[in-house]
Amino acid sequence: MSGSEAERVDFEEFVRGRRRALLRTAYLLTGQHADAEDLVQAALIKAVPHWRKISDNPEPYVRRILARESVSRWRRRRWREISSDDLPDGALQDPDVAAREDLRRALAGLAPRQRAVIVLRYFEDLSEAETADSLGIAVGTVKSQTRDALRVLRERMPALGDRGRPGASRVAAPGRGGLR
Amino acid sequence: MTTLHDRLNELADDVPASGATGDLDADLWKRGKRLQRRRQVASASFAAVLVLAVGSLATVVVDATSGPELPAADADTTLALPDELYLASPWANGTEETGPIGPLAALVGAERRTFWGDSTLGVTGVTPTGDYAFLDLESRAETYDVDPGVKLSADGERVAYLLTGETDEEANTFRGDPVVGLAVLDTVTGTTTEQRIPTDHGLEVDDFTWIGDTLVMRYSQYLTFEEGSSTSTRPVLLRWNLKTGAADAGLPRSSYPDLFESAPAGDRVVVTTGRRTFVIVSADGETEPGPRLDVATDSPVFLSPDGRRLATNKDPDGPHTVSNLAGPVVVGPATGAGAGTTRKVEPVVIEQQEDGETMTGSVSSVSSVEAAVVGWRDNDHLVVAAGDGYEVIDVTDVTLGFTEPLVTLPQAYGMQPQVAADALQAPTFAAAEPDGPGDPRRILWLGGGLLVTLAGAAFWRFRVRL
Repeated sequence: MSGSEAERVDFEEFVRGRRRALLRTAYLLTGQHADAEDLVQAALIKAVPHWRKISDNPEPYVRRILARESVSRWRRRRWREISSDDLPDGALQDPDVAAREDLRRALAGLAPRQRAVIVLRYFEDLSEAETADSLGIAVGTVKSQTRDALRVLRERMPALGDRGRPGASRVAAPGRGGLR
Repeated sequence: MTTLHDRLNELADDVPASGATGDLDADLWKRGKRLQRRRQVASASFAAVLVLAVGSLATVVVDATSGPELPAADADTTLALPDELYLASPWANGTEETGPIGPLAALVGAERRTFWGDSTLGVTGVTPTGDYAFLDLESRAETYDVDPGVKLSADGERVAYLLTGETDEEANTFRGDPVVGLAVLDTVTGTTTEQRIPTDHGLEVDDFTWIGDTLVMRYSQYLTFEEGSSTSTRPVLLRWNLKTGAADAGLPRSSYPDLFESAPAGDRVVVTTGRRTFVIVSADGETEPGPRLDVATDSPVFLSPDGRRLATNKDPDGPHTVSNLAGPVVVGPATGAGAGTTRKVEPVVIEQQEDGETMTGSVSSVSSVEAAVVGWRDNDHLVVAAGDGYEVIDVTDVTLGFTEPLVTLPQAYGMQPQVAADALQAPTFAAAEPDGPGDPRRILWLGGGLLVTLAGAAFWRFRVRL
């Protein structure tokens, strides 16, 4: 097997193993299944030229592309999606489904970078420094974007702030336990 | 308690489980490779364009900041006279860069600037082809004593200047650099020859003059280094023959008549010794009296190349006055029965007006300054300084006195332009303004701009790749 062929096999193995995990992140970043699929494909395609260098541990690099691409795509396309995957009213009567839909809509209302910061910090459990590095922005920007994003989320999902400690205005940081 | 992390996880669970994606994964790899190839082509094109841009820019900058190539010095070069002299570019090359540039038609003072912004009074040599280069005069003294401190020989092959250097004791520097002698730059070979005079505090130089191949300098010794220091009471002379190298310092002042107002005459000079008398002085100090003039003069007397005519400026307010203004031009025979009998020449200029009309008038009526005799073009044509240049008068018809322009001079910068005496008799040519090099600091500005552009381009490339 040639070196290039081995790389291809390695790449396809990675894609098979990590596609769903990447799609989960992409879905949170885009809020749309189709866009998530596009985003993951774009990130993987962009990773191929660098595969030789990143093949030992490709995931951080691919996730970095994912995060940045989600922001830059929005800049290029100037679209800011409002969910069209509306669930039927019946489905919303399920409290869990309704809560997920609320969160999805609330995320969709965030600016792309704010959404990326929230996903990386609270879903990927990255530190502020890692988040800053992934998005290519300053740590201070991560802090301010997080603060602003959480404020918007609380406004759109009052239950988010009310649950746990009524009237509390803070949301738990990653790894710190409950939603306060 | 449900955390935001948990809620995001729950939302992410909406993503359906992936099915078989084998073909899709292979397609991703192919598309990635295509992207890689596109990027490589784009990078190569970008690099090629960049190299082309940098190369073009560098060519433009180098062309803009380097002076024209000067012809190599040649002793056989015949003098020619540019019809206009210019102020050279402040960043024109110096003779240290160009090498010797050969006989000079003229010297022109000009501002000389350095890369770091320093500005000095420079002296440019003008070649018979109309090229300009700053003369790098080694150890040139900048002093108030003599104006100018640089003198071009009649043949244009030597430039004499005051030499500065170490004095035996503390130097008197209140009038500029201490003078310790004379130096001569040979414009053909590029060599500099020095003639130092032992001095404790420096020399106070009255003047120095070329007589053929010989330099004669009148000087005194400063007695102290203090401001207002008096000098030795008796000025003495240095005679230095550049052809033989023989030099005599400390000659009595009486060895030569006062050479301050002398006019070149071949390998001799003409010196006005009284208000109506002049002598012709050879390099060794021998004098030959000229005919007595019928007018008083405070100006040099110029003999025609054949020695048969003389010309000078009449003293406008007669003898026994202190005025030294140049009066009307007078011309007369220098030999024969009527020698010294002059006739007034009123140079007439013709000025073209903007409306196409021509205006005719005397030099004085046009410029309010009398024409001053500066030499002879040939036996029948006199050269006078009038207006902003030199004009030629046909002296065979002194009643008419129409002038022809000979050389247009630039504004004096630090020193009056000097035209080699022999060049006044040389053929003229239309001289274009020299292609001076531009400000070399543009390299910095352009380089800075290029760096910013490159940094911006690199940043852009980095940004789009992720």
